[in-house]
Amino acid sequence: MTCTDLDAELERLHPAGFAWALACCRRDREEAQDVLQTSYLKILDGRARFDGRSALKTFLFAVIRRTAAEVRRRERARAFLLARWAPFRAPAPQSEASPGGGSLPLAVGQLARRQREIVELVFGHDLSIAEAARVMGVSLGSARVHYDRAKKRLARVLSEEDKTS
Amino acid sequence: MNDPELERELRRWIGERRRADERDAPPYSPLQSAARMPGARAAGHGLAVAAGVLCAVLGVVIARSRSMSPRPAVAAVELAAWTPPTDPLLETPELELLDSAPDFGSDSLPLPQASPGDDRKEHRP
Repeated sequence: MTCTDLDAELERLHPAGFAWALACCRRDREEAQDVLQTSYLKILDGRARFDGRSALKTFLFAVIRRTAAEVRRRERARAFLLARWAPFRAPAPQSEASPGGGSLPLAVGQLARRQREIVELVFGHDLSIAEAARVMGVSLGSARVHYDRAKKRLARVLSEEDKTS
Repeated sequence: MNDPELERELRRWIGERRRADERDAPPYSPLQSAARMPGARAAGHGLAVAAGVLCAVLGVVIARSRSMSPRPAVAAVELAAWTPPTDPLLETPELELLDSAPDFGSDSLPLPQASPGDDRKEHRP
């Protein structure tokens, strides 16, 4: 794939990439833009190399996810260092809730990170579980376990809420 | 909520949110051109370059300070040649008498000459 082709493909995938970056960055728009730009930089300067073994979308999503994880780790390290000298308040994660979702957004917000990621990838971006596993850098079996647990947990939380309401 | 119903709800809600996010996405060109800018790459490598320069400067400073510090043998010689600054206070008059042994058997002292008759006079009963 030539540089021009890659550029055109990245542009085509850009909206989906931004939506995925938002999901990886706790719905923080500024952080999502930074993560997306760093991901493009990694791809364009060759630090992240597309070898054609998977779809470009899967590759791009994996780079975005890894970059967001790096940012998260750096933030955690900074918070740890700052906590020694000054009281530091970590930014509160943005709410998953959106109008029209009912109790589902809250239930999704209660999932573990990997469970939430696989739900986003499979139901939001129409990836198969195998593709989602490649994005998340886990084995197919592990991805299936995350997917299964996520659905069971969602069903349990939603049924409990139905009983109380 | 059963399984197909849950999946349908999830697909509907997350799909709607994804479409809203995609509509809200910033334009591609500024992000892409910012990533292509040489400054962006330089900023990525800036920290590594700065760390390298710092290491080189530290290395030179340490090497020079080691070459300037005296070696142990030279330091010993310098220590042996050292004299305290209060030494002149110990130099008192006639100090050379204490440093030298008396010279017995020499006639350096001017004794009076005795005549041979004097001896007999003294020992006469």
